[in-house]
This record gives sequence, C-alpha cells and structure tokens, in this order.
Amino acid sequence: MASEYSDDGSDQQSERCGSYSLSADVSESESCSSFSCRRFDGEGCSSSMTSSPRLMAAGGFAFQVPVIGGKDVVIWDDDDEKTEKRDTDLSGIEMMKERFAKLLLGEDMSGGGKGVCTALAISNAITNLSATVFGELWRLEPLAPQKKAMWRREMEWLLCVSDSIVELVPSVQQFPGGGTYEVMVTRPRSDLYINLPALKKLDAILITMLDGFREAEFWYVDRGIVVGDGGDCGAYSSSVSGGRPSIRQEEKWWLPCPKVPPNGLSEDTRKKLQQCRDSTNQILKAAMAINNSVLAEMEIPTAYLETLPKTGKACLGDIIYRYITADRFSPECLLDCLDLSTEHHTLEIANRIEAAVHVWKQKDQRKHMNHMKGRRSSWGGKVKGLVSDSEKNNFLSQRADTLLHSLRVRFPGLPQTALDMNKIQYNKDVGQSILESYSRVMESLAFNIMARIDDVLYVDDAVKHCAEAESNSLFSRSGLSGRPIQRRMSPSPFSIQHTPYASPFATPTFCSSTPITGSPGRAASSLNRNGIKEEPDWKHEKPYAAEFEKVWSYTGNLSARRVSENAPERD
Amino acid sequence: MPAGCKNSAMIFNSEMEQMKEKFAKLLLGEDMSGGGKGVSSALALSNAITNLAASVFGEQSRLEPMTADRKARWRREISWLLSVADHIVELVPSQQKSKDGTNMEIMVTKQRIDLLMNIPALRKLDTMLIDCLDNFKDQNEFYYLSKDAPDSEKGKSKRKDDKWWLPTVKVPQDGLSDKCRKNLQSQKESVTQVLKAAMSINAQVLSEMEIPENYIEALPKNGRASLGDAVYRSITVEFFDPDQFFSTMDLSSEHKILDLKNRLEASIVIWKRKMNQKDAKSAWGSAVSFEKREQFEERAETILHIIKHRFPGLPQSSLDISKIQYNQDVGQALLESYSRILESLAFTVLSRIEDVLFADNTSQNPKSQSCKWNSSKDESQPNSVSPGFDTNAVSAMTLSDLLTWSLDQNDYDEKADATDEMSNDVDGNGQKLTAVTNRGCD
Repeated sequence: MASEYSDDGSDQQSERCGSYSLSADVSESESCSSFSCRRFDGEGCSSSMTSSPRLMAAGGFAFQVPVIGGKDVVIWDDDDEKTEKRDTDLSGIEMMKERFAKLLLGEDMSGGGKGVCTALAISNAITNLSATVFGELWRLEPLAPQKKAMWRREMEWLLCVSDSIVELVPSVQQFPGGGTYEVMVTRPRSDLYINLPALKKLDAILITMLDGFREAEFWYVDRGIVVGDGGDCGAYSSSVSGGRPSIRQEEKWWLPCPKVPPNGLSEDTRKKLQQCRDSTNQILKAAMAINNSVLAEMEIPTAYLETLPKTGKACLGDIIYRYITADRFSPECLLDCLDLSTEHHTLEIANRIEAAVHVWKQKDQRKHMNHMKGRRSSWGGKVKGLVSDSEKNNFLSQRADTLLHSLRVRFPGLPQTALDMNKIQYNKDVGQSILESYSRVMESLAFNIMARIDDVLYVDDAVKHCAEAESNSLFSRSGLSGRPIQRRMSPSPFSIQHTPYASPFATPTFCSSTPITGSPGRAASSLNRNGIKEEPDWKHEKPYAAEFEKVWSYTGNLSARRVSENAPERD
Repeated sequence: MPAGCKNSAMIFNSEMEQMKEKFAKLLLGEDMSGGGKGVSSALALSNAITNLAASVFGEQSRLEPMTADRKARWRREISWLLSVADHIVELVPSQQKSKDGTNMEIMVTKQRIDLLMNIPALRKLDTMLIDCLDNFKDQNEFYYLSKDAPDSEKGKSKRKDDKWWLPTVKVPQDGLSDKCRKNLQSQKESVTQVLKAAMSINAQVLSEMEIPENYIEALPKNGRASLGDAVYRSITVEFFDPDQFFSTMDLSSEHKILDLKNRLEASIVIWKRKMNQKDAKSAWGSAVSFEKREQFEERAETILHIIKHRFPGLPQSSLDISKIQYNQDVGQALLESYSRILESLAFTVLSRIEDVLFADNTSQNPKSQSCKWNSSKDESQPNSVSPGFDTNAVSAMTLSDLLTWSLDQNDYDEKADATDEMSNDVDGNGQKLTAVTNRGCD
C-alpha cells in the first residue's frame, strides 16, 4: 500500500508543473491509501527496506495527470526586477488558481465529479506537498530557497481555507441608548483557533532550525564515494567512519554519510546539536499530541462500523477474550503475556482491541435503544436479563478500552490503527483534516530531523572513540572496543532477520518475552576488532530514552506510521 | 518602492486575498462551519456564478454602459471561477516523433472537449453583451426618469407592466433620430443572436447532464400514471397526429404547458428505463409491449420538440432543475450556469432596448397603442427562467409581445391575468403568433 511520489522538488523548472501537480493528481482510490503511510521519498518505505526512493506515483487508476502541457515555465529574470516581480506575481496567481482548481475538482481531473471530498483533498495535498518539499531531507542543511518558498506559499494557500471556517457564538452588544442584547457573531472555530497557530509555530521552528545548520562543522559524502575513501585517515579510521556504517545507513543506502573533522565535532557544535535534538523531540511530542487529539475528535465512519465482526470474541480471539472476561482483569498482565514482538503484531492486536471496543459499544447502544422501545413488552426476568446484558457490554467495552490505553502507553509510537485510517479517509470535516494532516506532517519532519541529528552524533561518537582508542594502547584490556557498539534504540527482536512468532490468535501459545529496555542486544552488529564488547556509555548519556522507549522507540514506530525512517541507531 | 508601485501592489494583494477567500468558501461548499455538510463543488461553483451575476447585473436597469468598477469586478471574479475549467482535462492520443524518428503514440492531456469549445464561445458572448452596453455610452437622445418621478412627467411613456422599479424612458418629442433607431435595431439583432447562442449552449449542456437518482426515484410507476389518463389516451391513439394532440390540450397558461412538459419528460424517462431493463417480468405485468412503448416514447419526444419551438420561453422543467441541483460534474456546472446567466443578461439588454424602441414608437404613433405591454420576464432574477422567443418572428414583432407567457416562476400568478387577457384573443399558438405579427409594432 505504499504510495511513492516522484521527486521533482529539486528541479526548479518543473517545480510549478511537475512536483505538486503530479503529486496532487491522485485519483480517489489511490488517495484512500496514500495518507496512511506517509513515506518520505528519501527515506524509502519501512516495509520495503531497500526500495528505491525515486519511484513514480503508482499508476493504474482513472488517470494520472502529469504535467499539463502548454504552460509556460517560470523564468527567474534578474534583470528587470519589476517585471520579474510582476511575472512571478502573475504566475503566482496562476499557480494559486491551479491549486484551488485541483482541490475543487477533488483530484478528479476529468471534472466528472468522482473526486474526493474537500477534506480529503486538502489532507492529501498537504501530505503530498510535504513529501515533495521535505522528501529529500537527507542532510542537516538549510532548505533550498525555492523549496522553502514553495512550502510557505502553498501551505498558505491550503491553510487559507481554514480562515473561512467559523462558528457562531453569542455575544452581548449594547444598544445605543443603553441596554444590551445578545447577538450571534462569528469567530474562528475554536479547535482551529488554538491549534493552527501552534502548528505554524512548530513549522517555523523546524525550518529555522534547519537554517541554523548553514555552516556546520560536519559535511556529507555520498555513499558511492565512501567506499573508495580509504586513503584519508588510514585504514583504521576509515573503517570507523566509512567502513561499517550504522544499521540505518546500511538499510538506507541512499542516505549520504555524515563526516566530521578528524577529532570530532567541537563542544559547541555538539551542544548545539544536542539542543536541537531536544527541541525537535519536544516538537515531535507536541505534534503527536495535536494529531492524537484531532483523531480522537473525528467521527467514527459508518464504513468502519459496518465492517466490524459481530461479536467481541470474534474480534479478539479466544485468548484475549478469555482474559478480558475473566473476573480479575489486569491490562498490564495481559499485555505481558501477548506477543508484542513486532510492530506488526502489536498493531494487529491494537486493531482488534479497538474493534472489540466498538462492537461492544454498539451492542450497548442497541440494547439501550431496544430496551427503551421494548420496555413495555419486557417484564420481570426479561428485564433483568436485558439490563445485565447491556451492563456486560458496557463493562467489557470499558475493559477493552483500558487495555487499549495501556497498550498505547506502552508503545507510544504505535502506527495508525485501522480505525484511525478509516477516520481520515472518510472524514468530511475540513478543519479537522487540515489539523490532522498538518500535525502528521510536522511529526514526520521533526522525526526526520532528529534522525539526521542522530546520524551526525553517531559519526561524531565513532570518530571520538576512534581517536580515544588511538591515544590508548591498542591492546589495553580496559575494554575500549575498536568501534562503538551499536545501540539500537529498538531492541533486537525487531531486526529484519527476526523470525516472526506465532500469532496469538492462531494458536494458544504464549510468548513470554519481557519488554526489553534500550540496552544493546545485537551481538551480530558489533564486529569489533578486538572481540571485546564494550558496555556502551550512551546509556548513561541519555537516561531519558528509557522512559518512553521501553520496548520500542516511538521514533522507530513512526517509521512505519508516517515516515519511513527506522529507529535512529546509535553505536 | 515608488508610491504607484506600492498602491498597485496593495491592490494586487487585496485581490489575491479576495480570490483566496472566494476559493476557500467554494471549497467549504458554502458550509462555513467546516463540518463538511456543504454542497458539492459543482453546485457551489454554479451558485457562485449565479450569485455573482445577480449582484453585478441586477442593477442594470438602464441602457447604458456598466460602471467601470462593476465591469472590472465582473471580469475578475468570473475569470476566477472559470479558471477551474482550465484544469479539467481528458487524455487524448497524440503522435510524437522519438529521437530515432519512429512515430510514437502517447496519451497527452487536453482540456475536455466540451469546455474547450464552449467556454471561449461563452466568453465571447459575454464580451459582446458588455460591448453592446458600452455602445450606448455617449448617446444623448433618450434618457431615463427615475421611478419616483411623478406620473405627469412620465406621461404616455409610462410603463404599463408591473415592473415599477424600472425607470421610464423618455425620447425626444419627435422620436429618435433615424441613426439612433437604426443603431438600436442593429444592437437588438446582435443581442438576439447572443441570446440564441446562449440558449442553445444551455440546452445542450442540460441534455448532456446525467439524470439524477432522486428524480428517478420520485417518478411514478408507469407512463400512464405520470401523464394522467387524458393525455395518455391522446398519446396512445392508433394514428397519432401532433396537431390533433395539441388541439385537445389545454395550453392556456404557461403553468399548464410546463406541467405538460414535466409529465411528458417524466414519461419518457420511465419508458426509456423500462425499455433498457429487459426484465422478463415486464412481459407479464405490463399491458404495453416493447414496440408500443418505443412508439409512445417517440411521440412524446415529438411533442416536446414542438413545445420547445412553439413556447421557447418556457421556464425550466422539473427535470432540468433536478439535473442542475444534483449535478456532480464541475465542467457541466460551469457551462450550464454561465450560459444561463448570459441568457438572462442578453434578455435584460434586449428588454431595455425594447423599452426605448417602444417609447419611440409611442411618441411617433400615439394612437396605435395596440402593442400591449405585457409582462416581460423578470430579468432581475437571473437565477430563474430562461427566456426565449420565436426565431422566425423576431424581425416582425417586439419581444414583449412574443414573451407574453415568459413569466418568472415566482410571479406567474400575478401575471396570469395578463396572459389570460392575451389568450382570449387567440385560440392556438400558431394563430397567436400571426396575430401578433399583424400588429406590426416595431
């Protein structure tokens, strides 16, 4: 279900015609799936680790509309500033009109009215725009000016719809001669009023942060060159800095390799990077919070409710059902018993629990309605039976809700559940869709930036260790390894080579895997020369990590959820 | 930046802001709460065009050029709305030569053919109408009295219809000069052409629009139920003669004609559906065979065709209204609404020309008051009906006479008297037209 977008962002000439117009031109069936897995072009897909980043938008639908022929390319003429401004203004208007026209057509370029609703069109447009602009965020460097301009301009257009979304509130006004009367006035809808400025601020902070990396001490080298770069610092350091790259770098072979000066980064730079990382983390959390709150507010689509199984038991499978309906119910205990080894499994479990919650809620409602209607006819024992049944449904749905909540707390980075995706897909509320997509896009961006910072820090650490090791005796047993041990922020079972456990729904086997904290687990990764494993001291450096990365770093989960970025790995 | 530059930049920016707001409202489908309960884009655009026309042309009560700012606003806003059509495309094959000289056929995008043909045509009609009004820029022969002027001033030129809000035309004592009159006539000709063209585009788009499900669901079960017994009997006679049919119909008022049209249209839809269904059941239940049904359908279509020609000014039928309301196709919505408002505008201009010619005529022939000033269409509501006229008779008579029954749906009750008055003179449409011709009010 991966939707890839052609990466035309770097081509300024085609910027106007190619990048966003192509990315926006997905017909309805594709757009249903397109929002759910936001893959940034440069990062590939979490499901297909080695997929090429430069895949064209998938065809096979009504039609794809590539560049609309016949439009003039924008020419940046530096000679006559005035005409340039006018030209850009005019072409700016043309672009704006084109953007709005496409939104109005609901992505159906045949005009036939089989497009998507405005809410989904805007949501997709925001997502596609961010993929175009930030999709190639492979380095920590300022955004190219035209990309920045494009981002600002187009977001302004897309967000200006929200300016017209209002709600009526009563307000008291004065008569000229004294006395008051109450009149309804319009004001911006409250959720937009609160959240949109916040999101815009997060946006600005992130872009400014990128701008801050203008003249950094580190630089990047493309992969192809690294291999041949052995001559520089000697075989030793080259093996460190270029030899065996981090796991992520392995998987994402297209990412350029960060390089630091021979002695590592200066203290200042390091501090600055750390600060950036921290603030990006905060932004990430904020964006996630907004996204979650908007999703929670969205209406549950009837399409979802219709596809639910008939009984809670069918949703959950025997094991979980038994545990939920047991007398003593402890969510934590149950979660411990389940196989939550891979993200896929956990997501499946979350989906099922959510489904059960709604099945029971629906039953509860129906019973209540029937109870109301059938009050006359049901007497005596029958009444009792009905009451206890409805109570049971309510009770079970509450338990399931608690369980889901615990699951979410345990795995903060859980990807979107099936219900979330359905909500987004069938949502009609324009304001909510703007908030949801904007916050999701900000999450992705924040995550990417964090990953890039981590890359640089990793290389820096590697180099510093290398330098230390050089200054110490090579054969000292005090245990400095030849290279830093890679600490995965996600535990070993999540590696690609991991064999999947049996699904708890299929066979009643339990896997009692205890949640693994962020300690390094992968013996295979540390190909260290001296065969000495070093207890990484990053654990101490980053105590915060353990708190919310119990089993999984949510950054790792975001990879599947939004951006294709695996957990930033550190050695 | 120099002052002039700054000003124009400010104006430019404010225009951009206006455009953004307009598009935002369109996207919200007129539902300002953002809740998604708005109308479809197609209907939103259609309404936007209609409302724009109402606000811009609603006040065109005199035969004079449009004010500059209104003209600018019209041009600007209509181009925003129509710009959506630029992006409605279809894939067409095209030949391309690749580098090694081989011919390759690839699909390219091209603007959808109906829009490609019609939108430039409609824009041209638009320009023609505005230019026509501009034509009367510096004329100094006729002038207007405000509607509040006392009756004594209005004198014999006082409007005899109900449109009290329109100002009265005054011409010089001896009437207009020949040159002026000729000018008016030629303008009338061209505006008539515009009107015809707009009507034909509108009719064509309406015929292409899909019949909405709501309409189909609301249809009666069979043709007989929809037509009513009397009409059904007339349609299903052995030997069908359209004239005979019309003679049996009561076509005294526009309302009745419209009713007949609605019923016929409904029956045609019902019969077409039945013919397409190929249900084995139909052989059982219906008394009407497939061939007969086909025949009745053809007859009904013939009648509709004749009605269209004899009563060109008929308001929109319920099928038309339903089509417009539930239409989802943005391109068609644009074409339909644009052509409809151009029709209205053309009719307005035509009426204004007629006003002047009538006043001139009255001043010259004070005795021949035989041209009854019957109620003409209410042109200040471009939203509603499409006016029309008989193409053959245009040169021979005044528009007002032709359009005796071109009533706005809203006020046809008031005008019923006028038409009844008129219908007393004639007992058939053909005769009606000839009777009017004889009057020769020109």
